[in-house]
Amino acid sequence: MKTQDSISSSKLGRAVKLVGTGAKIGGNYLKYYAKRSITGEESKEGLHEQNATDIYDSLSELKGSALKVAQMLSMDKNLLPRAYTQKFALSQYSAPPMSPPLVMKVFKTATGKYPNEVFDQFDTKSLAAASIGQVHLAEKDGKKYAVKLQYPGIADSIKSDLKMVKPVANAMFGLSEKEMKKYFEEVEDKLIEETNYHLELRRGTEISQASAHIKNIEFPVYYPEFSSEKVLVMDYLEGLHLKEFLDENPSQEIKNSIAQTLWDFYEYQLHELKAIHADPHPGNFLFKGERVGVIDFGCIKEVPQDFYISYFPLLLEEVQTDEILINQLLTNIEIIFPDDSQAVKDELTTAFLRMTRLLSKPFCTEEFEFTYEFIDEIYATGEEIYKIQEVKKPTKPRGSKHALYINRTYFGIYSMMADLGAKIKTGKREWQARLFDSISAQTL
Amino acid sequence: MQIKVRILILVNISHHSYVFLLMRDQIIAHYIRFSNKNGKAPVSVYQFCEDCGLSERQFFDEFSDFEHLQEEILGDFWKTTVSRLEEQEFYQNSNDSEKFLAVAYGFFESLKDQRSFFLNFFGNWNSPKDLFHGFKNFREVVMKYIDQLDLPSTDLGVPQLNKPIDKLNSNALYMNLIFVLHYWVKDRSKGFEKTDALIEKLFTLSFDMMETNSLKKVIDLGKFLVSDFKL
Repeated sequence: MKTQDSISSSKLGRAVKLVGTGAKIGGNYLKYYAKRSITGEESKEGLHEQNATDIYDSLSELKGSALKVAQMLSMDKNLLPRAYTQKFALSQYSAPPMSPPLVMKVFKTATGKYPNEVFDQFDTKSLAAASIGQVHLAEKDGKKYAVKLQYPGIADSIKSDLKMVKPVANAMFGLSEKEMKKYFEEVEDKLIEETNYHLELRRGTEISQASAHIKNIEFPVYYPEFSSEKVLVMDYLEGLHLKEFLDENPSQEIKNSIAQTLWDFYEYQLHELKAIHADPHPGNFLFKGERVGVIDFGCIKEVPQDFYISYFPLLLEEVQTDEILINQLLTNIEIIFPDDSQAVKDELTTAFLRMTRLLSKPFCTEEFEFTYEFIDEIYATGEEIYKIQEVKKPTKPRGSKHALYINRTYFGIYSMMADLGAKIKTGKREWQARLFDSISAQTL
Repeated sequence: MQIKVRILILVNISHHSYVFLLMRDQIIAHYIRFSNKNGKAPVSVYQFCEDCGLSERQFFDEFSDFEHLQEEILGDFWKTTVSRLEEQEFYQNSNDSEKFLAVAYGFFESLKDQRSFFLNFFGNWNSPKDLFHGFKNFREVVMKYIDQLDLPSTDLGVPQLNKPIDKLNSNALYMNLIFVLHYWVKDRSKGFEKTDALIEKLFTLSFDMMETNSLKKVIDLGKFLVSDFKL
């Protein structure tokens, strides 16, 4: 891969870039309407594809937080058509790497030593790029390590990046100012957290130790003695990314086994640890045989208890038929508000329930098979719900900010499950009964 | 980067450490300390010498005046950075563009140790242009370093032109370096990370432009415009 050359460095440079994107998208819409007025057709999907390419081209050049926001926006299924999402799902791979002298400098500044003074071997060409850093392969005493280095100045640039993306996101994705605020605060908090490698080391160690009992799962060991705020040293895990892994045509048994491990891991995190690895990017999972390697604990969403007990009961079949309870829960998570008109309440409740019933399908049966049809149905339903006026242009910001990363995570997992064509044991877990009991006790 | 050993004497650099230093380096160290302590550079050589317990002769054996001394300082930081890096295996194995980048990072890293001094020192220079025209000695040191590197160059097919163009390229590198210096003075980011980001962006771009024969394209465009539009 070619080493990073010309990133638009100034705020102005970035603004120009983004304005360029806006203009291009406008151009695509013009083309679409012009073409439609002549031929009477041309699929909207084609238009989205074209737009996604332009946005992707521009945002992937921006690197850093703009890239992350692009990914976030792309994954929030109710806002974006499928064409955008697929394109952005890969965007993490595309950030251009730091030059070897900068790699040396970052390592030395952070640890006081050059990499070759710490390791027997250190590869100055990066193994993989992430949105705020890059990973290098190192070796010491015959053991392989992955060394993650942070781009200099990234923490500083996050806020200004987000400020730059905001008006454009507003125009491109039609989000209202109020929605944006809630959305961007959560994203900004998470992004700032991600720049703190001390935090990642602690959380990575905690979650991997707590989840070590899950069958076939493997985590890298982190090495605090070599790590710092900008450098994170961990075991190098062998394995392939999902796409390459699938290219090798593993048997359906192996695919099911992998899917089961992933599913169990997320169930355990969410309902026992109440904190989840919220970056289910394909690059963060490494597959080898039946073994699933999980890396990158930079983005962890801690689930607050009051949100947990209002959000997850909605996944329970028994709850989905209890109108009073639903009304209460939806009010708790700010989907509906007491001062909404009855018509708005009804419309939103119906729409939300429809989506939830669909999403909770895996939880309501003992076994579930993830298919592309299922994913497509989710997309289609999302797009349909998006047509509702109060969803499209809400009069007030709706939905809890905590749902953002949780939805995104589950969206990523469902996609991976579909890629695996997984048929796994999903439903009737202990937490469901526990949650139902606590809800019933409360309402009594 | 050989420094001839001249007079080695025992001196008091900071108030508690005694180190062997060249007289020349010792005077520079005093000068930096004096400026930091008083918030401004010494006014006269007499005052300065009295303050650090040297004779004027010792001073004038090394420097003609303060301006001369100042000129040497930045160059010293550059030379020290280069000689430290030359001991490093990764530096020896780097290509020449990477070597330049490594020195640029190292240079700004070393300036950090004396940031207060340099803020004072650069206080008189307001624009990159002023900085560019000052520091003749520093410029010489840097240009000498750049000249011995084998950097990507533009071949226009006219041998007589290659040399002036290489000169143009090394001048551009120096100019970028001065620009970074100016940025660093104003940089308020933690650990001056933004300066590092700027170095990365600026110099990788410079090298890319040298490599991709952009000059050739500019000349090509010029020829086209001249012949077609009789400009």
